[in-house]
Amino acid sequence: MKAVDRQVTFTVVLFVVLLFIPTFASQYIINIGFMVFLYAFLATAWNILGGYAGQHSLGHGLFLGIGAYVSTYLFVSAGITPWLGMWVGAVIAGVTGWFIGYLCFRYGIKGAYFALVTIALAEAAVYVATNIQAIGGAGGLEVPWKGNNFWIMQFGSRTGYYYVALVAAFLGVLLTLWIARSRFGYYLISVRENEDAAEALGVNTMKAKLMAITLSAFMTAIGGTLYAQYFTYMNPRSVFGEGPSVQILLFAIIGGIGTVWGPAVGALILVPIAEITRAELSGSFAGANLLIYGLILVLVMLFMPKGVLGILGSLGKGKKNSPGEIGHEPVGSK
Amino acid sequence: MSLLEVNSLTKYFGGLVAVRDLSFQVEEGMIIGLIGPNGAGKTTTFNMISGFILPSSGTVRFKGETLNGMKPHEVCAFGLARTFQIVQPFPEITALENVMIGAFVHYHNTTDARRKAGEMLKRVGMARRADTMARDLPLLELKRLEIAKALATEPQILLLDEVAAGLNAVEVEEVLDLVKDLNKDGITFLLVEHVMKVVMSLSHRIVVLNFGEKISEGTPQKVSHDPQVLKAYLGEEVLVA
Ligand SMILES: Nc1ncnc2c1ncn2[C@@H]1O[C@H](COP(=O)(O)OP(=O)(O)OP(=O)(O)O)[C@@H](O)[C@H]1O
Ligand SMILES: [Mg+2]
Repeated sequence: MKAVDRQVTFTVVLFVVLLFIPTFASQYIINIGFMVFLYAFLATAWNILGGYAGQHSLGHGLFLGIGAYVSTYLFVSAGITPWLGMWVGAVIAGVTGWFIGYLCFRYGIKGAYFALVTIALAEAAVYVATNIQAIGGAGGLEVPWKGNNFWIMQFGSRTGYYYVALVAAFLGVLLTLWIARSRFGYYLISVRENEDAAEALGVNTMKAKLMAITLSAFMTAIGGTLYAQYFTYMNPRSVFGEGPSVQILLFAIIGGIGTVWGPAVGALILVPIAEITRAELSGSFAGANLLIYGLILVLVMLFMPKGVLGILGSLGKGKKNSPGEIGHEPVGSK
Repeated sequence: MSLLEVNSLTKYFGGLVAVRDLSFQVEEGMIIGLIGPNGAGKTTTFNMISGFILPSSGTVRFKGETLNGMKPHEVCAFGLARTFQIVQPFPEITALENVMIGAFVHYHNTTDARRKAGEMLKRVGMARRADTMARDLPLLELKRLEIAKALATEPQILLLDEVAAGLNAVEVEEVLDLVKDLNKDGITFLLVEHVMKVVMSLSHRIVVLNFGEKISEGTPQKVSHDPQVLKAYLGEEVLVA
């Protein structure tokens, strides 16, 4: 209990400190800050389903795209502020997530098969969106610039976006902290660790997984709206495509899935590297950032298979068997 | 009325009959043994009772209500808990957290669930292992952990599938003493065992399965001298110690 309260305090203090960064940092740093927070938030959303409930989605771009397209379409076509459109997109993504989860979990699709289904659905969304002219087809959608106005989530400088993404990441981490200490969180972990055992102990595994995918999709769509407002342009492949899906999951894996801070740490490590390599090498060596991602992923998987935080976590938690306390029996029956 | 009533339970796996027309009852406060050679259908019977597989036909009644069609988690919340023949820990969390999962059925708040889990670990003699990751526990303790997890759900009846398997003679005694103690506290037991002598001393009544059918039922004394039973176990180890 105490340790978790310390974590809440730490989160709040960190949040306050980060509020002051824009007062002295350059726009370049603020840009990186925005990206770190956005991806920290997205990876945190993924982590609820992938890290805690153990259902590895490779198609979170689907929910990102729904969030981006819905709020932008409502803004462009009906003048509805993204502050509102964001929730509409989130609800649509949440329902979509629930539906996908219902079909998959109902028919026992899990593990690699679940991952494949999610890739396929995100890929299908690319084609569907490409063929809907109302949302720009292959050409995509642009968020028209209507001037610096908080009420339509448009800011004259990057600092405004920085704050919005910071708040999102902050709330995402707080939510994860709450989940990690709640019955819901333990239920998700039990599903990840051993579904049959969880059922036998009274856990409604279907409900737990459905809640996880719905919440995860809901949050990811909110990230999609932020993405759209910041980059002011999307096309089917840039949001629904495999690029964002893989990035989201990469940040979570490298930081440490199933931990509160892992996704944020992953984003903090990888986003600056990606930004710097893109800036430095984009002309001479396009795609270098992907190569570097790949390299880091291989290194992390080799030396820290549980991610950066997974390593730190296992140092602090869980005493090993101290020999001599009790006879060591081979765990033969498993 | 019996606590648990199994009526004409039958299970086909394709053409194979794993359990055929099996009926027996478990009265409140009893320890009932369900024994039989390899592949006799004991685990299949457990799986049907606890809601993991649907019977091909027949019914299971618990506290007067039919369990058919209930999900395992509903059966558990209704007061019937089970353990698995092959231990099923949650490997990457601590022993205490493993037990908490079960405790959450009745204690929705983490602090209460943790307290309940601590009591249950103590009950099975594993208090000092609370902070050990389940993956680091030896088999004997994993078996105890299984019992603690199930107990945390506060069951009225506990189904144990071969808790003694894989343990040495001393460890078997320890586990059986635990069962005896828990029974004194009011928990009813249905024990599956492959080897009869394990449940001989403990069971009030024994049901013997062979090839999915009940071939004998009665006191340990009676079934251990039943020629049908002796024939079924022919070639296996000595029945009575
Ligand atoms: N899911 C399944 N699909 C097909 N056949 C099965 C399945 N489960 C069990 N069987 C078969 O049903 C029969 C009964 O198996 P069961 O596991 O119930 O036996 P058991 O009495 O528990 O045996 P043991 O002492 O080895 O644990 C066996 O022939 C087994 O191969
Ligand atoms: Mg069996």
